Amino acid sequence: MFLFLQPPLTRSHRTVRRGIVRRYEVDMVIVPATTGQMGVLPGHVATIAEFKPGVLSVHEGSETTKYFVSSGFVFIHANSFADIITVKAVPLDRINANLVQKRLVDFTQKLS
Amino acid sequence: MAMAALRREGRRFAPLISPRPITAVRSSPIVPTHEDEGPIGVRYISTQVVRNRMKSVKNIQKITKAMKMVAASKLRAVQTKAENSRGLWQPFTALLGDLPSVDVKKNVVVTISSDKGLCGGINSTSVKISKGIYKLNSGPEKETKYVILGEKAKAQLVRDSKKDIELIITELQKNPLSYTQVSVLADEILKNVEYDALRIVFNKFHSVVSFVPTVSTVLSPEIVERESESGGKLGELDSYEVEGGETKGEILQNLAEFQFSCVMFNAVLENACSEQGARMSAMDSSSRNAGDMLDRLTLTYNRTRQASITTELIEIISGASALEG
Repeated sequence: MFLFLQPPLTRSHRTVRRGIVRRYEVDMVIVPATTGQMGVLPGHVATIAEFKPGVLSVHEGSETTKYFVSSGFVFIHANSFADIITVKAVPLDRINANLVQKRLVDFTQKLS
Repeated sequence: MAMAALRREGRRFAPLISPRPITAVRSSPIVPTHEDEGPIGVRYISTQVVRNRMKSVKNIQKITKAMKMVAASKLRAVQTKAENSRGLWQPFTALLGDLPSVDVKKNVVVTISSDKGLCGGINSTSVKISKGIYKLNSGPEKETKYVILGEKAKAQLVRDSKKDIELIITELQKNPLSYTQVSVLADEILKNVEYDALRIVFNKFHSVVSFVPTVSTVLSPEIVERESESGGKLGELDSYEVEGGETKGEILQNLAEFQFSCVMFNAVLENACSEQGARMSAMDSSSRNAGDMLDRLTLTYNRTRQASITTELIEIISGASALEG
């Protein structure tokens, strides 16, 4: 996922799975960095951050879209562009909580 | 019936009168030929040989046409995936740059090729470029190693560079290409091979008729540090703060590995597309050649057939005229 943050933030999402390249302007993004939830706003200092699997939320005006992302990297450039690259990004509304729980149990059993 | 009777009559007399039909000039009776021989002196020119050739050429044409269709459908399937995957490595290149001219001690050339043949010259070009990179990067204290993906490059490189090959991976396309598979592959390569710079050689798919051999360079984190300190293209890297992890080096290591797997994924997909496209055009020209050959053979066949009919007619007529006269 690529997110371009431009004043206001522009993001472009890119995933490995679908290669969805979405580029749009947003107000703020919250990324699940390894050091915790990181909020990214326009004018953020240039950073390279790694993130762990978690919820990515994109705030656009009054709307918020949440994605579940697997691990990846986010590059925040000095010109308020942000690139988010992950292996997988799924919008939260497509995830079925019960199914996830069941699969989690299955896989934990298989691992042990 | 009457024709056959006359023919028999003609046969009896033909050797006496004019045993050499005008059209059968290709051989003399002294030299044995592969034409059919009837009772003494009479020759039937055989169309069997030409007919056999025509049949086999027609079959080949059908097969190559079918292969072209199959390649076209496979191309369609892989093309969308490849185009989507192009977005993957672009941010890495935007951040870290792609420096093919970087000067390092340990180069690893990853050559991507196909397993199956009949796909034109793409594998040979990949191998030629890999060998070129090897030569370019040879020098004192420098070493270049090969990692080979695909049977075709293996066949060509094993012949003269056997000692420089680190890893050979084949049967990549048995299961449809996926990121998980490629990331496992990338992991293997990174674990087993020491590298300062990885150069991935593949054929980039521009369109159905154009495949450009390309080299993508992925640098190891130490070299990235070195280049960024010396300024130049990577000089801005230092201005980026690195969050998380214990040290900057660790994050850069993860970054380099992720970059490698993304670039590999794209390279493998593009090469698969190029392979199908090249096979389409190879099979197309093959069917066209077969068609041309078939036309030429048909002309020869007709000429031969007409010649034998003329021969028979002459024999009959000369026999008949001998009877009358």
